[in-house]
Amino acid sequence: MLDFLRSQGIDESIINEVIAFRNQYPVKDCHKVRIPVPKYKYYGTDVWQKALTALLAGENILLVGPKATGKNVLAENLAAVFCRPQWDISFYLNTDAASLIGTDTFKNGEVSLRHGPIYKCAEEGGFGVLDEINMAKNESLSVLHATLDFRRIIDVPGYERIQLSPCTRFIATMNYGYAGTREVNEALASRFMVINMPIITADNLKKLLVTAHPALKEEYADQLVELFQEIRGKCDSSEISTKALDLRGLMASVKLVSQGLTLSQALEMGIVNKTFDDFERQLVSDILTARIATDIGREQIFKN
Amino acid sequence: MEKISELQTKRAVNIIWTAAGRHDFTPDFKAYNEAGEADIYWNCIIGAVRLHYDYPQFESIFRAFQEYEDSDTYEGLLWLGLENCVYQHEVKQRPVLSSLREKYARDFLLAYSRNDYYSLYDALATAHYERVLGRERPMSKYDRKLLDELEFSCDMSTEDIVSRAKELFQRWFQICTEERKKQKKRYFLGFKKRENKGKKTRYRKFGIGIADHPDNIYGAGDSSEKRPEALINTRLSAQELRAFMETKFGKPVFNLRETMEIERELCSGSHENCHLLFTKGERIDISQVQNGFEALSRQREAAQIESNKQYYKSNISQNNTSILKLTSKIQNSVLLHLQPSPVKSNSGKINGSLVWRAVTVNDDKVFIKNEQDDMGYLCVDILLDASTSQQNRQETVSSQGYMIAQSLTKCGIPCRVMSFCSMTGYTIMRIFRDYTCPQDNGKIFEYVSNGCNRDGLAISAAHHLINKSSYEHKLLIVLSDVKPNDVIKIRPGISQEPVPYAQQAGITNTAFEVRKARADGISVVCVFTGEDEDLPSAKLVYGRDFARIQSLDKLADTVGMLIQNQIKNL
Repeated sequence: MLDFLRSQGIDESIINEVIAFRNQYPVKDCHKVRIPVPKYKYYGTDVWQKALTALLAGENILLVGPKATGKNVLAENLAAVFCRPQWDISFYLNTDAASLIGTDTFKNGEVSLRHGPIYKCAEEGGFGVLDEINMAKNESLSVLHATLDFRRIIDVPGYERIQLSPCTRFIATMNYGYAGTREVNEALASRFMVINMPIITADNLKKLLVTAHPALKEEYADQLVELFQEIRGKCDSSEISTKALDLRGLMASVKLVSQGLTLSQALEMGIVNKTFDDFERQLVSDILTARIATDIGREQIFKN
Repeated sequence: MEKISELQTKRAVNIIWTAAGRHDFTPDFKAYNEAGEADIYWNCIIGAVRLHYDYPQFESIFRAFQEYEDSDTYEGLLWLGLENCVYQHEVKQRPVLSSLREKYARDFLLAYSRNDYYSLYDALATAHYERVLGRERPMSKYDRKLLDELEFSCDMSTEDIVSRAKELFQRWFQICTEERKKQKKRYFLGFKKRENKGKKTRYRKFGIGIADHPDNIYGAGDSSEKRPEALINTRLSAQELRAFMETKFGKPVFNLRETMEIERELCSGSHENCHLLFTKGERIDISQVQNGFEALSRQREAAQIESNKQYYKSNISQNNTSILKLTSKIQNSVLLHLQPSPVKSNSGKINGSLVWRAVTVNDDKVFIKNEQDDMGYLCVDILLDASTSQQNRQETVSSQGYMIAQSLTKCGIPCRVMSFCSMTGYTIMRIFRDYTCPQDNGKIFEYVSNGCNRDGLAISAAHHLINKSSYEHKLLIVLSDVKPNDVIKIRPGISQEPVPYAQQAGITNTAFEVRKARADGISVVCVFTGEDEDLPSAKLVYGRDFARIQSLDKLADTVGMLIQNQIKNL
């Protein structure tokens, strides 16, 4: 991972600090399985630099950006760079204090606290990824205020008050304006350093495709990148919704081709069918037809 | 030729946009196959012309063709030539084009092999598509020379192509592509200038399919198209009228394309010939207003706005108390509604009276968990009637509107305040404050009454706007005297004669639009400000969901009650 950071042009001084951080806080053996091994890498020097610096300075970060900007990829990459165990906490409408920190339960005839993921993460010095933080109601997140700010504590009434491990960090992600999301209130936002995730550039998208599928021929990587940009163009001009703008679907489609489907069949499953509106599907399908011939398959797009 | 469906038009336009790499223009010329479906290959080419060349320069040639009887032939030939060079450019970036082109060529040749009649275009196109497939067909020396000249090479710049095309059409067909030269009609080989432009249909044959020739094709424009005189007594053209409305009421929220789309959806049927203007009231500076009458009415408006604000200020302490009262009223009902319900569970808060069950019957569910009922997100839209009938109570309406918005803001309930009025066929939806702009509450004082009221269209427009939001519960409060009245007539039934939009016809239409909004999950309630005699119509339109207020000071209270009821019913 560190070599990758160097290739991204990150300052050597920051990398040295990351190494120092790793050495200072070794991971318990039992938690080693939680250290992620990223499948995809995040490309973007500026964002890397900002995120690393903020985490080194002890801050929590909030990654804000539309679909397909690599919020979760970056979060996972960061945990990997710092060699920290990762806890994934997905937020939803009914997320409440109990589901985050812990709740009373009955064990061997005794009432005890069943620890929630935030508690575990705080105790073990992990990186907590708070996914889609704005899906939850602000009121239920207020229990995290003391955890996220300078106090760095978790205080559950009736139980001990625990101090966060010095290497605990929280990385929240949100997609502003996504259906079902809420406004994040100031109190919560002020506890994070906010990184606006830029839309992936054509170059980086190509790198991503080629790294994930090294055998992919360059000219087809270009065509897929163009296809994705064209769909994005349609979304930007609100001709279609962002449902078909699906980076995961694009990556998965290439994988399907390597298994034997034709590229247009795979993209139909990975991209076109992501939108369930007939008309929208037709528009996306047109973009596909005007870009990828129907008979292109594994022989054509992969080297040997 | 049958009409092309809207879906296919939209498809064609989108393919053109994709190929052109931008979305900021309205394509004029679009291609469809025989079945009326958007043709991928040709629309790609049409779009790509704009990517690789300066399209407006070609436009003027196409426009000149429209003057001639055989414009379709010339148009087809020029597109054939352009296809040749654009394809060579575009195929480098879009390799799929080679297979699409071959397929199109094969389809074309197949379609034409069944055809007996043979025009010049057919002969050249057939030869061209044979060449695409790598074959050369026998043809006359002249035809071959013409085709060779026509197939522009990809090294040529826009200017080269334009000058070659002009020279070529002049030499072969005696066509003058210089614009608008008043010349005598030319007759040559049976090609003559079209005498009656209006006779051509919009969808005409193109290649093996159909091409869309809208009236304003090649930018020839319908800008001077007069509105039907019988409908509206104004000398302004459609564009001028829209521009006038925008100067008077403010810049539109939606761009022209979006507006057209909304109008197509809403201004049909009962609201035929009507137009909509959604605006936030951002207007051009008064110094730029040329029209003296307009400048005067601006001054009057400014005075009214000032008077609205003064009225509010003069009762500031009372008003503030009203706001606080209304706020706590709404907050209370929200809190009441959010009563958590306790559920037995195997984790949560221990319930002493149940512990024995764990020990003796091994039942772990000895805890109480509070399940919060989620009331979901509620949004409130307030639609104020801004027709002349409200003239004498503008101050009260605006300050009451302000107070409601202020209270809802304090409760964190998103609200939008709009007013509506109609003028020469336009229904103007003025948005004072949008859901996410609490800082705009003060703009509600800009409420000024003007013109007629087409309640049905206004409700349907509000319905359209509300539907765009993602809130789960939607409440629309209409402040109205339920006396619809507008200059554009309404047709009560398909075959019936239009009648004035007033009284029974207007009321029936408004009631219909209210039902439509309700069927869509929007609660529509009315704050009725009219007289006794209009009570039956209010009942007809809003059913039981209206509250009558004798004096407007009670507006905030009444609205508070309506919102409370709404929250209770969630």
